[in-house]
Amino acid sequence: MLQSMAELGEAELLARCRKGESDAWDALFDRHYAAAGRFIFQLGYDLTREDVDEICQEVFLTVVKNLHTFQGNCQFQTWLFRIAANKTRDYRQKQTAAKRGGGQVTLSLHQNSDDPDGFVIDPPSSAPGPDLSLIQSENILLVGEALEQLGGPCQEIIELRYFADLSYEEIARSLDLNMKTVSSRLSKCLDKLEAVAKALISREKKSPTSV
Amino acid sequence: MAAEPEKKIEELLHAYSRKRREDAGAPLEPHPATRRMLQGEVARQFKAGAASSASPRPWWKTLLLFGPKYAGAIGMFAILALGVWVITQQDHDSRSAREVVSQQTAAADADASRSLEESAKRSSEQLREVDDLAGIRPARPESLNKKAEGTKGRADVLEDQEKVQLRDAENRPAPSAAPARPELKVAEQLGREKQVMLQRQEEAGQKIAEAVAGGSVLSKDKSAVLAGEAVGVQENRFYKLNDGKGDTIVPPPAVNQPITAGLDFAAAKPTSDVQLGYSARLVTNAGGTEGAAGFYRGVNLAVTATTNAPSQASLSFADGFAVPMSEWSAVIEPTKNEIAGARVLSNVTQEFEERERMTPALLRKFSVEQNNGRIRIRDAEDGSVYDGEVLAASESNVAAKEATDELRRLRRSAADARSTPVTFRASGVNQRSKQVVIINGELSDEQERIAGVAGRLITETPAAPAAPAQTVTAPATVTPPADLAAAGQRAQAGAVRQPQGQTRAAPVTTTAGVAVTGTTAAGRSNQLFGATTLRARVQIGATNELNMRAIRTK
Repeated sequence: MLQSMAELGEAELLARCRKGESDAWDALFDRHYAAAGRFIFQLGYDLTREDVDEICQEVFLTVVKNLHTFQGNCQFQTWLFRIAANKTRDYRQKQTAAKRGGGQVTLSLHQNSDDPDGFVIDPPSSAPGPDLSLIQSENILLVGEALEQLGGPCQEIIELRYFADLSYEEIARSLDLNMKTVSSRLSKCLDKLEAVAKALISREKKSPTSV
Repeated sequence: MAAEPEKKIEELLHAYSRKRREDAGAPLEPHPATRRMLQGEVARQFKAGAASSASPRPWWKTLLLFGPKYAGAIGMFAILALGVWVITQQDHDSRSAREVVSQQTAAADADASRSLEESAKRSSEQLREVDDLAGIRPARPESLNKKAEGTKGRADVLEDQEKVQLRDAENRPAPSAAPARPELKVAEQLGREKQVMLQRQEEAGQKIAEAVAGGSVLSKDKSAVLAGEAVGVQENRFYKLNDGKGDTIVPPPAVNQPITAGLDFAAAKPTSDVQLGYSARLVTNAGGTEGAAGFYRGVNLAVTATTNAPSQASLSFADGFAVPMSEWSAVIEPTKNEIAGARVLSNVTQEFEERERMTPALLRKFSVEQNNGRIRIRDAEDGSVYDGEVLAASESNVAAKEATDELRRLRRSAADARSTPVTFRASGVNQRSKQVVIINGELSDEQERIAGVAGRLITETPAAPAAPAQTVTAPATVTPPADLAAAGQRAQAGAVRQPQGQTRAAPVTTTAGVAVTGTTAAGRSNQLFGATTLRARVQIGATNELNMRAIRTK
């Protein structure tokens, strides 16, 4: 059954999902869950798999509730990525606020426990680990931070273009923009991102690493 | 675009992307718990949707979705639409009713004008005939012509009245073709309105009685009184009264005294002046709503009388109906007044009958006994006894009165002195009507003095032979005893005073002329009783009152 559902076209699959067929929904989850997770993982340089899993739950819940609003103007995955980008942004803002207020760290309920007694809670330290420090030492990883600092429409269009690998045409349809507008906006946003990244890199070079 | 060289930042972005994908590791798969949670959400979301799509939503539920505001607005609109529909329907009905009424009015106006012309013509002929038979007016042709013109003028006025009445009668049921049963309307008008004039009833009634043929129908006590006063002020009330009550009263069965149509108009000559500044028409209430006089179909007894020319008074019948005379009424319309109206005057017969019926036979013969401060009035006809007491004045009044009396005594001679009226209050139950009667009156010798002054004494028979021995003639200077003064009983010089404890009684009669033979109380002589006149206001039951004046007879 799942095999046959996997062979269905996207439009037909969505039609069945709109009818409430659970098999169709399962097929839809299987088809897009990994891609959404991979996309979400790129949206934050410090996001963990648990974070991504939680964000993915929120994304697909939103899809279930709002599938009837999907008009088919763009591909379903494009629509899904936009939801994922918004949810990731909300999640990160919430996470930042929690950290700022000394809030609690979210723990995954699905984490397997090595302790036979079930005592599995081992909160990770909010301080960057040794590997992350090594990564941060590399300029590449500063791009993610710079992108996060950039924020706004520039962050969104850059994410769609370079993390979701959408074409200009897809981005234009998704954001309801002209292709030339997408091109020019993307160019300007890259310039801004470069400026922010340079600032970050120069700051990193000046400051000694914590390791 | 692909040909363009990548920027440095783009290279970094691609490198970052690759790095994060590598860090993500194995592709993410939804955890079974996550999948169950999502499927549960799918079931909730689309089950409700499937159920709602399976059965169409009723229209009223759709209305409810609009919320209470829209529901209220829809309700208001419905009420408004209903109101507009009702008003439109009423307007339509009233318009059609007006059309029908206007058609009926036009027809009635035409009939009325024809009838009025005939009536005026008939009146002028009758006037001429009356004058010829009586020979009162030598210059008959000219005056008759003038009178006929005047009658025509009045006919115009009557025509206007007729129109008014017909308009008022539009909403009433149409009269039957057959002459209706005579209806008693005047009595109702008399009972409800004080427009009835009873002045000069003798002379006016006599004129009308003599004017009617044979005098058998109208007598002095069955005649209308045409009074000029206050006529022409509220003419329109006549219409309202007649219109309102005309069809509901049944005539009394025993008053049928038919008037024949064949009148001897020679007898219509008045014998004395009729002090009227009006022309009058006597209109019978024989029923119906049409007629030459504009009021009712039936016998129209028309009387025209003017102040300057009383000989022109005449009676005429527009129709030959026999009508009970107790049911006719007089309608007067002012001739010199611009008011085109008419007024109902009295039916004297019914007025008298009404008064007779309403006035109880009370104290037509009675005796009065006084014993010190007590007083007793005994009705000689029904044996009712009314006990009471002589009213005492207040102390201050007594003192003032004593001073005044003293002054009077000094000023007046003994011959002029007279007794002070004795006020009393008595009450009891009338044996005939079984009603409580309260008498507030005074005893005095007024009648004696009046009669003496006028020279027409009401004769008082001398006392019985045995009585003079008991008579005590009070000297002018006698001061009344203290107890009598305290009781308010002031015997003055010339008055007869009785010793204390002795009963004084006197038979009296009323001014109505009823012969009264008084009986003395307890066999006492009435010579001791000084008062000759009794004035009283008698309250009978809760509502009726009458004024009484009685003089003493033997």
